[in-house]
Formats: sequence, structure tokens, C-alpha cells
Amino acid sequence: MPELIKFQNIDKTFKTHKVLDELNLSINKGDLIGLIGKSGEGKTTLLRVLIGFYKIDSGQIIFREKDITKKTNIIRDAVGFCTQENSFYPELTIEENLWYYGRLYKINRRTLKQQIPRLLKLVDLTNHKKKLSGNISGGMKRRLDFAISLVHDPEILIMDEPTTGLDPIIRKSLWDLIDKINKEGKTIIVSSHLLDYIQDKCNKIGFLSKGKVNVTTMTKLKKKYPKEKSLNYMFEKMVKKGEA
Amino acid sequence: MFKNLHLLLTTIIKNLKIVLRSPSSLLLLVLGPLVLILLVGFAFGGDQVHDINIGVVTKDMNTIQPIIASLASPEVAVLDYYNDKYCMFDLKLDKVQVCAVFSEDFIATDKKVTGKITFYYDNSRYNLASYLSEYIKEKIEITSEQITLEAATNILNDIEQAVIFMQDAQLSIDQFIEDIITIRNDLAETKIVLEDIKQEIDPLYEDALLLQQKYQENEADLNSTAKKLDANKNNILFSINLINHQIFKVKNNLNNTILNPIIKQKIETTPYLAGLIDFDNLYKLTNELDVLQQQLSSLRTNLEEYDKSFQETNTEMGEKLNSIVEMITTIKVFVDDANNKIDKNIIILNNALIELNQIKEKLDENINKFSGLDQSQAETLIKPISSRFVGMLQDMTKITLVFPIILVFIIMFISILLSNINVLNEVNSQSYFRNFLVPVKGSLFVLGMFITNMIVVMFQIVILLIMARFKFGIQFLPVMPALTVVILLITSIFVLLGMSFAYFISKQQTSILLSTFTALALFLFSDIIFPPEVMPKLAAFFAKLNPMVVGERMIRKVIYHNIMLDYQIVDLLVLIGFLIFMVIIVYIAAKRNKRRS
Repeated sequence: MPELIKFQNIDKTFKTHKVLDELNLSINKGDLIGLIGKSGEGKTTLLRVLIGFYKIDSGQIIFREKDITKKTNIIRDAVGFCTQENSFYPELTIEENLWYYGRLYKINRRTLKQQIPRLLKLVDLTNHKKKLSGNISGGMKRRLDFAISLVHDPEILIMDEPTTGLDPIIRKSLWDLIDKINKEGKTIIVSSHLLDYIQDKCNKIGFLSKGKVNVTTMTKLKKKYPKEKSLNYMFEKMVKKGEA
Repeated sequence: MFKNLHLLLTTIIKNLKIVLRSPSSLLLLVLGPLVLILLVGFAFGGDQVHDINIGVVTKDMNTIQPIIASLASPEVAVLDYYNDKYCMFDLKLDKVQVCAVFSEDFIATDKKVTGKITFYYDNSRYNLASYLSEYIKEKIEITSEQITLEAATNILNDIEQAVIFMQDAQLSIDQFIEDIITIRNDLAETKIVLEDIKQEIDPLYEDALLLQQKYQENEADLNSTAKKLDANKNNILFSINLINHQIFKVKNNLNNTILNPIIKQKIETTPYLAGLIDFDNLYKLTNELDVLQQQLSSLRTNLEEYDKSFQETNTEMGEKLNSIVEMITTIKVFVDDANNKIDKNIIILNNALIELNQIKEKLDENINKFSGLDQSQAETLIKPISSRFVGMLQDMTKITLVFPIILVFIIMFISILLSNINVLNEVNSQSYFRNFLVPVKGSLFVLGMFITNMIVVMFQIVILLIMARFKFGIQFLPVMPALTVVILLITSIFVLLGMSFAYFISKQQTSILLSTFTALALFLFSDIIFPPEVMPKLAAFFAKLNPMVVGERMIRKVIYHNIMLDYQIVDLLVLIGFLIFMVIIVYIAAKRNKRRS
């Protein structure tokens, strides 16, 4: 698959704490990359650098083979972002939230009128579109957040712990939804501690450690750790070895 | 540009939906200003003090009746105290609001007022004290002035009457002098006449004396003649009586004889005798005898009268002569006496004239001194400098007068708190982070929030203005353009202030507290409690720059004095300066907030 975005030698320091240290990451179109790492290793920082929210100290960002290091605004149009918590207005209805963010992404009304029903159908919220977002269930809120992240039809969807705090049934349905979105052609980078889902759903796995990310696949990992049946054990072993 | 506008509009609509979907916010949005203005109108609706008790400490209430009468009203009760300690105690208990202690020598009647009044009040109740002192000052001054004015008017009236009297007296004196001069001249003329009379009387007197002397010398002869005359008169009377007797006899004989009708008839019937006797002649003789008898009788009467007359004349002449002499003597003495008196009176009149002229001169002087005074000058004499304080704004209710400050005060509180809370809700919202992901400049969200806040506050202000116009009759429609500019400016400043607090301190409790304290500080450091004019100069300088004070000043000038913005350039520039400053502050705060997020 063609390379969509590439981060080269990215450095990011907060005061004296260097969070990203000459990080290199290459994302191909259609990838579903699961990002894992210990708490405090900089997953959220990396994701925020990926969406262009944090400016990097040094390094290079290549998007569609163009250097956009100085113009990170461009990447914002191409990226959708799902936070750990729901990021929408509870006082607005589901439809109004989609409309509001769609307009902020400068999507014209006609397109938006077609896009919103499609998204509502995708996240299975069509029958609830007139409900106030604050009044819907936790699972619906997460699905709405997904929909909002996709409202501008981004090429890349970045998700930071998208299923934290949800019950297993909703969690599963959401991972199914992520899978479904990915299958629709979206490139997805998802950080999560739910390694089982990453093992099942992601085609690539990125281990973040000491400011660097090591991207691999389950196939490679199984070869490396043949005795370990799941990613959980593999990760545990890697941590013990100091590889993650 | 158009794209940004639609983004801005989207943001504003979203913000408004958020505000309006909160039932409590919606209620406060509409009801808040309504309740505020109604409360304010209710509180400031009255124009007079009421429920005021004034304690009066005096030994005798009767001596201060006019003062009591002026102080008391249906809203103000006057309570009598015998001791100032009791009054002061009640003042502390707030049973009375003022203690008026009258000095022992205080007297106030309808005509005069003297003495001293000391008013004690609780100056910790600053605003009430101000109202009370104004009320009492007005009442006492009016009473005192009325009494003094009345007294002065009476005095001047008396003086005026005295001047009129003096002017009349002066005229009388003139007339009197004229009369005296006339009398003096008349007396002088009379004296001359008397002198002439005297000149004429003196020889007469001499003649009268001489005549009296001669009469006295001839009085014996005259008496003798009178006696002789009387004797002759008696002889004549005897002769007359005798003649009368003889005539009577003749007549009687005739009547008894010839003229007896029987005899006469016999004679007439006797042929020879009839021709011899002429009866007609006899009757004629008889008649002539009657006539003679009458003449004799008349002669006798005349003689008696003559004799009597002679006797009387003789006596009378002597008496009259004496009387004449006496009269002439009296006249002479009178004339001499009159002359002497006239001389004396002329001297007295001359002296009187001198004195009268001196009095007249003094009267002239006094009339000249007092003739310039009349009743209308009483006020000028009491108050040489006539001063009157007249408010430029007449017939205005208290609520109308305080409307600008209330409006600005409400704008300030609503703007700061509402914008602060709205921004806090936004920056603490989970969705806030997503705003940074969209390809929209952060300033657009700030602008959107600012405009949203402005719309909400302006909506409330519109409600306030509608209430002010129709409930309290405050006229501002003719100056609406200028008023709108000022309101927009001060609202913008306070909205930005509230927003900046929220962007700087996103912790809700701290930020709201800071906003409240700032609003309170602006309120206290304004001219609501103390005007800047009575503050220390440095403090006054800053207080005058308080946007609340500047805004209130501008609104007041616009609404009440029709002074438009071209005459308020300095204040306008101050507000614009504040606005620019606040825009910069909010920009910095929003940037800082974004970095933190």
C-alpha cells in the first residue's frame, strides 16, 4: 500500500523532558495501526503530533510525499481525531454536533446534508439524531464521537484510548465499528491498552518506548515470541526485556 | 472572508443554542433583567423620605413651635425628649434617626428666631444622613428665613410707615410754619390795628371820663328837675282828671236830660220845643267830648310815660355813662394786654419757627436716609447675597436620575459574569479540544464567543431599556444612536474582561470569584457610593477612568443633556482605549489557554 504519511527524526521536548526522540514512523494508506506502550511513554503526545496539534522541535513530516513540516494545518484536514473522552457539546443534538463540526471543516451544506445521514447510519445513530448528546448512552456518545471525527471524511483517523471505561459489549461493538471504518478505506491509528483487540483488529502494531516507536506486525511478533499466545504476553515479555 | 463569516455564524449559533438550551439560563436571561429593573424601580421609586423620627430635646416645646411645625410632616414624626441622653440612646437603637438639641435660650416665634440647634445623626448610615441633613437643612432654613424675613419685613414696614408719617409731618410742619407765619403777620397787623384803636380809644376814654365827671356834677340838678317834672306831671294829671270829671258830668247831664230818649221823644213831640233844640249838634258835642276825653287820657298816658322815660333815661344815662367808661377802660386794658400778649406770642412764634425749621431739616435728613427702604428689600437685608441652587433636571423622578448608573451597573455585572461563565463552560467543555483540531483559527472561536456574549447581554439590555421606557417613562429614543454606541462600548469592555478571566483561569470557582471581586471592585471604585470628587486626587483619577464611571458619565450626558459623542471625545477615546486593551488581553489569554490545553 502507498505511503500516506511519514514522520522522520521527530523530536518533542516539554521543558526538560524529551518525550519523542528522533522518532520515525511511516503510515500507509488503509493501515490500522495499534499503538501501545507503558503509561507516560508519550502515546498521547505522539498522537497530538500526528494530528498537528503539537509543533515538533525538529524532524520532518512528509504527507503524500510532500514536506509539510512548516504547514501542519494541511494535515488537520486529512486527520480525524477521537479523544479518550467524548469531545462534543452535550447541549446540542447528535445531528447538530455533526453539523457544527462539519461546518467548521468548511464542508458545504449540500455535502453535509448527504454526509451526516451516512455517518449516522455508519455509527447506527440515525434513530437518535434529534436527541441531545448529553442525554444519550455512553456507547452512543462514543459512536457520536467517532462520527464527528469522520464528518470531514478524513483519510486518517487517530483514536486515543477510544474504548476506555466502556462495558465489554459496547467495547466490542466499537472495535467492530473501527474495523468497519477501516474496511471502508480509512487509515486508522489507535492507541489502547486493550491488546486483545489490537491483536485481532490491527494490521500493524507500534510499540512506543523511550521516545521512539517500533512498528511491527502480529506475524513478525509471533515469529519473535513463538511461545506467547497473545499480544498481552508478548508485550509483557518485551517490557521485561526493555524492548517496550 | 465570507467563509470566515459563515464559520463565525456557525460558532455563534452553536453558542446561543448552548445558552438557550439551559432552562435556568433562559429564565435568567429574560427574567433576570426584568426582575432587576423592577426591583430597582421598586427601590428607587419614592421621591421623599419617610418613616423618619426626629427626636427633639428642649425644655419647652412651646418656644420652638414654628420649628416643630416645619419639621413635622406625614412622613416625619417629631418626638419630644427631656434629656439628650435618652434621645441619643434611641438614636443608637434606630428608634429616631436624628436628635435635635435646642439651646436653652432658643426661641422661635412667628416674628423672630434666636438660639442654637445641634443635630446628632448616625453618620454610619451615610446615605440616610445625607438625605436627612438635606431635609432638615431645607426645613430649618426655610423656617428661619421666613421668620427673619417676616420680622425684617415688619421692621421695614414700620420704617416705611414712619417715613410716610415723617413725610406727612413734614408737610404738616410746612403748613404749620406757614400758618405760624400767617398768624404772626396777622398778630402784627392786629397789633397795629389795636395800636390805632388804642390811639382812638384814649381820647374817647378821656372824653368819657370827663362826661362822667360832668354827669356826676349835674346829677343832682337832673334829679331835682326830674322831681319837679314829676310834680308838674301830677298837677297836670290832676287837672286832666278834673276836666275828665267835668266832661263826664256834662255828658252825663246831657244824656240824663235832653238826650234821654224819653225826654228827647217828648221834646221832639213837643211842637215848640222840637225846633229849638238841635239834637245833632248835641250828639256831635257829646262825641267831641268823648274825643276830648280820649285825648286827655292819651295825654295823661304820655305824660306818665314821659315822666317814666325821663326818670329812666336819667338813671340809665348815668349807668350807661359809667358802663361806657368802664367798658372803655376794659377795652383799653384789653388792648394794652392784647398788645403785650401779641408781642410775647410773636416772640414765641418766632422761636417756634426757628425750632420747627430745625426739626424740618432733621426730618429731611431722616427721610432721605429711610426713604430708600421698603418691604421688598427685607430679603436683601437678611441675605445680602441671594443664592439659589437649581437642579438642571427638573421634574425627574429618582429612578430616572439614577437610571444611567443602574444601567451601567447592571451591564457591568451581567457582562463580566455571563461572559466569564460562558467562556468557562466552553474551555472546560470536553469538546473544547476538538475546536483546535478543525482548520479554523482560534481567534474565530474567541470572536464567536464575544459576539455570542454581546448578543445575550444586548438582549438583556434591550429588555432593560424597554422596561425603563415603558415602566418608568425614561426618554432615550431621540438619543438612541449615541446611547447605543456607548452601551456597545462598555458592554464590549466588560464582556472581554469576563472572557479574559475565564481564559486566564479556567478553574471555574476561582475564575467566577475573580470576576465577582473585580465587578465588586469596579462598583466600589466608582461614583456610586462616593463621587470621585471627594476621593483623594490619585484615587479620583483612577476612579474617573473606571469604564463604569466613564460609561455612566457618557450615558448621563447623552440622555439628560443631549450632549452627543462629538462633545465627549475624550471619554469616547478612553472607552475605545479600554476596548483595544481588552482585545489584546483576551487574545493573549486565549493563546495562553490554548497552550495549556
